[in-house]
Amino acid sequence: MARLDELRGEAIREALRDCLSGVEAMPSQRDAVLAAVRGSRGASGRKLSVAFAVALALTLLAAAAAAAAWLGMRELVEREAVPLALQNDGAQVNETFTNEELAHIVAVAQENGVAVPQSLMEKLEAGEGYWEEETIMALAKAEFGPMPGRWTLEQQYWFEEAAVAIGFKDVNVKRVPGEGDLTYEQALSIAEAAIAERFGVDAAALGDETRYAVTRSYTEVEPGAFTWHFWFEPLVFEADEYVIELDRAGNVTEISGDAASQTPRGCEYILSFYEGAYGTPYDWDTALWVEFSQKIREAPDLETQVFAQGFARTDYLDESNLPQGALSRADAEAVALRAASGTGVDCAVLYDAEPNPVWKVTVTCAGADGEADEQRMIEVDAQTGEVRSQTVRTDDMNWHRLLVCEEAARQIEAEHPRHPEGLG
Amino acid sequence: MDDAQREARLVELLARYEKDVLRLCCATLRDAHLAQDAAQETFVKAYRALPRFRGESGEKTWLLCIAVNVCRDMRRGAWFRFMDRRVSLDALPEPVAAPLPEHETLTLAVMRLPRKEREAVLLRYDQGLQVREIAQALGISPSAVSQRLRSAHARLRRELEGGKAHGKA
Repeated sequence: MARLDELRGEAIREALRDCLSGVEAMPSQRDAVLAAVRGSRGASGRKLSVAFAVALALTLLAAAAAAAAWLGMRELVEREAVPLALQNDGAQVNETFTNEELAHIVAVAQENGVAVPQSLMEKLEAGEGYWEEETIMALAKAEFGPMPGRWTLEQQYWFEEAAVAIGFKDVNVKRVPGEGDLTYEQALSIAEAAIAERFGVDAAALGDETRYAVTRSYTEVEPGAFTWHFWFEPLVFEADEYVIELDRAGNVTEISGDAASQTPRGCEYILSFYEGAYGTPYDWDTALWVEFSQKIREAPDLETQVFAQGFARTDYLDESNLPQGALSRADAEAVALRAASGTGVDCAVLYDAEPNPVWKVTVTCAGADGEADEQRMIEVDAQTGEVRSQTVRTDDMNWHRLLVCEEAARQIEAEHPRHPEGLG
Repeated sequence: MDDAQREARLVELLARYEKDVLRLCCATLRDAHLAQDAAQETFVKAYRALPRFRGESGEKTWLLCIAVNVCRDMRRGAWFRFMDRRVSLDALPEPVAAPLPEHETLTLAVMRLPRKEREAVLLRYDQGLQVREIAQALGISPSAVSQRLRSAHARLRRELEGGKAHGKA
């Protein structure tokens, strides 16, 4: 293996070239493309499914009968967003709503009390419109929840219909159980029992919503090939992780489990778990950093995981515990932006230090050459607002470096000179 | 632009970029058959879009942008991250010669990167796009591209250093 501190683009390029050397364009592929475009001429670029067309027609009829009736999210999508998307239909790839269209959708949503996610408002403010499917997804997530895989099967099916209606997808492979199918509850029960038997766990524990989030789907990817899929994703460290698939009759076709409860969680797992549960560390709040660092300190492999030692040696603080008069996160970010003439804040963490706690804020600044921006890490005294240090991030600095105590980072760099970038 | 002109243009695009598109789709979807479907879909969509293509970005960037979105669509179609959990090179086309073991390890690590980082890495290092072109293709700022590349490097280093490969993307 190439030395890791020498891992640069060329190594990646070489590796991909080697492993993808078998990729070859074939005449048959080219013929298929040409046949497809010849066949598509004159045909509508949109495929409005019968079911969705009926739903749309019913919605429009209902709307005509009661024009003042309030819309829910689904009606908003069916009555406003999809027709606008269809109206836009043309040759454009990756079709977007114009900002005017987006403004219209948002306005109707707000008039009707439909939740408009902040992300959409930001797109609107940016003034460049937004992808059609992402707009609908954002509205759906605001109502159904942030994880589409955890929506009900009916919600998943509805969204897929909308995606087909706007031309984003060609077919809807989602299914809602009907005649001849197991019910969702039956399928789930079979899945839990199979996992319990195979891995010797308590089936009831799998239904504990404080321990597991269940991602589910029922699909018919090929005609007649129905698949139930369940992923029991642990919400707590102590829980194992299971994936199982059933056929239409409930026979287990695939089952796997991570018997991690028998293996102490290492630093990699902990980081992966937190990233999966809470998203990118750049967005974590201060309380989460306190919790995460504690878990890292308890990891059995901490000593060998250089990347994690910065987290372990940083005494993170929860901002709600700061004394009165101390700088809030927003205050500290404003100080850092001013100090570095930054254009935006990337992340911020709060940790204990002498003589006062410190907010370490990373901001993006316009690069000198106008080509690439640079990042600067600013230490701001959480008590006085004084800027204590300012460090430019160099290309070989790991992302961890932005999120750990500066002093700890320097110690680790001194202890591990083999890793010139410091934290692994 | 009439149909004949459009088709002639499509044939040119296929001749120039079919392999690039296919490589990107293969590396993104990690499955040769899915990649073929995605590449076809990319060119069909490009054909539809040709009258609107005004050269604001390079044509390769434009095509790869379409391919990225087609691949996202296909991956999103699965709804869940199940496929990501079984990253392997087995479903890729048979290489011309057996790859070096370290190249396999690194390619697997690239394929295990989170989607956003993986897209940036593939466009940068496999397709040779500049940061600004990647920003156009992905619809994000150049600084966001730089950040994704940095994060990807860090993650790759971490994984290759011998940490437990958790296999989640």
